[in-house]
Amino acid sequence: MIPVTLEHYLIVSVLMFSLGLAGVMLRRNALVVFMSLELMLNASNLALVAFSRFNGNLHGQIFVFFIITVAAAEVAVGLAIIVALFRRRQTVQVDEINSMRL
Amino acid sequence: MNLSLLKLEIATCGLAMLVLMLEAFVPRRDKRFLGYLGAAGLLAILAWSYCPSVTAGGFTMGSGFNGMWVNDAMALYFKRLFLVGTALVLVMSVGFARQLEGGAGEFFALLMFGCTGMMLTASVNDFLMLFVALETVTVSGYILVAWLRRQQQSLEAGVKYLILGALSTAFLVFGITFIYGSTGATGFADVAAKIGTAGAPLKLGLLLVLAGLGFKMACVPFQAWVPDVYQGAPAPVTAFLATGSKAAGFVLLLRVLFGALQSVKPTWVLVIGTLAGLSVLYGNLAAMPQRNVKRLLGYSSISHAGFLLLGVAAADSFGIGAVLFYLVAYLFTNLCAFTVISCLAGTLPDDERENYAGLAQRSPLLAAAMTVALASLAGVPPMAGFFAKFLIFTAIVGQKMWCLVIIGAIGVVVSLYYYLGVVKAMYWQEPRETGAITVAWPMKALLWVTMAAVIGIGVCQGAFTRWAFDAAATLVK
Repeated sequence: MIPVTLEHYLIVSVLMFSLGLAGVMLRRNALVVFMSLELMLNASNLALVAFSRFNGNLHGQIFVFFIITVAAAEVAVGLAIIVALFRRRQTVQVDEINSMRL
Repeated sequence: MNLSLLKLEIATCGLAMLVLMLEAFVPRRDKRFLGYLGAAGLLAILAWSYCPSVTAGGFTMGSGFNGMWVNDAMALYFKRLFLVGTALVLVMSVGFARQLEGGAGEFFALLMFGCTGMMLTASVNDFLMLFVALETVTVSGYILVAWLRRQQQSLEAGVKYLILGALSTAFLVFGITFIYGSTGATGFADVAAKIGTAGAPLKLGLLLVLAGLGFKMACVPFQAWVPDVYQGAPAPVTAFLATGSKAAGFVLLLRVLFGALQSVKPTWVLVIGTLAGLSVLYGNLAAMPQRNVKRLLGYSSISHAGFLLLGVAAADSFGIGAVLFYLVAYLFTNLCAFTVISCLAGTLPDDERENYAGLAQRSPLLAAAMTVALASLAGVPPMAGFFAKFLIFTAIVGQKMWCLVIIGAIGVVVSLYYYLGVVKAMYWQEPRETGAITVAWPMKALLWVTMAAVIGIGVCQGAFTRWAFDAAATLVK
């Protein structure tokens, strides 16, 4: 069995971040885009905890608590805005959100 | 732990919660008085910040919380700027309150929570603190932008701000992760100590953090949200984003650059200089064909982010002093312009330039205020904006950055075209509808105050530049 090193965690974290970024760029449903954004934040959480373990101090883990809290606040506000948008437009497709143009 | 370091922020946050509680007990038609209460409270906190116990190097100055927090002259300068800006935006929101459905009290409270977050950004000395302070501003901003939830444009602006804002947060957090990973610390001083030995991950991290801050400052290439959000958000919220939120981005940028990255100055001067040049060019050129006044001010905001970054790129105490002065001039100028837009929001069908035609005949005061604001944005003497641009150009000429000087000069000339286009419409075109536009007295007072500030700062620049340069001197040793 190979030992799990910092690099393994970082590879998973970078993969998660890239998946999230790809989701934000490619998906058209605002809810899925929002979910992908949360994935990007969780990629940071994983990397922070791994760094914390391998740096030998707890700063990173404390940071993760703050990120989780802020992400929760962001989700609460974000979902409320998306629900309000759905009520008004009956759609959450981001390419239909285009009433403001030059 | 020394809580007295935080007393201005605690007072602001307490005031916001007080307004939020009173919201539940005040009858509907009196809710706008909560806005005045908030504005008066913020001005009282501003007055308190001049008390000797806050300023005189006593127990509230200095750094604390394990080096995460620093109260110096620059922090105090920015806190006062945020307090004044938010107080004026609150008065503007009261005038706008007829259009705010739902609880106006929550709207006022959110502005003040945003203000608390911005005051926190002024004292940041740690990447963890940076994240929390920035998010306090941003999350309040999401709600405020989408406030008019029966209007499609406001909601769309809210969704765009939310998605792009959350994306920039994700980049910022990922950046901080790599900074922490390669240095084992999040404090600016610790990062500065290890920056020489750390390798590529640290540089990647710092680049990602700059991207997150670039979003707040609205500079190219992080400007995609600006035109739509400025156009769709309620006018007082746009004013809040254009003044406070942008200043918060800049104070964080200055803290990071001079707190953590002092030793690699030549590298970041190059990066900041490039972003500055691109923002000035993009903002001004893209503003030229715009017909919507709020959208035009959005593009103008990108170009002003560019001018501010020119001052940061100069990277000496003169350049930073110029940036601080510029932010104050820009604050009053923008508040003046957005007060006019707020006054017209209930009367005109939308913010298209055609609707501003002949405004001088319908309301001479509004037309005059808009002209003063636009002249200051364009940099016409004797307005505050002229002297601010003059200081920025002096700073970059002093650093012999001729390429940036030429780009800046092109930007100024181009900007005259589109700002004066609005002035021309107001004075030399026939109105579509006749009939005088009445302005309520609080808005009138706000117009006079901001106009007086724009002209006053331009005429008596001496005192204001001295404050700005004293504050800058504490940052740039």
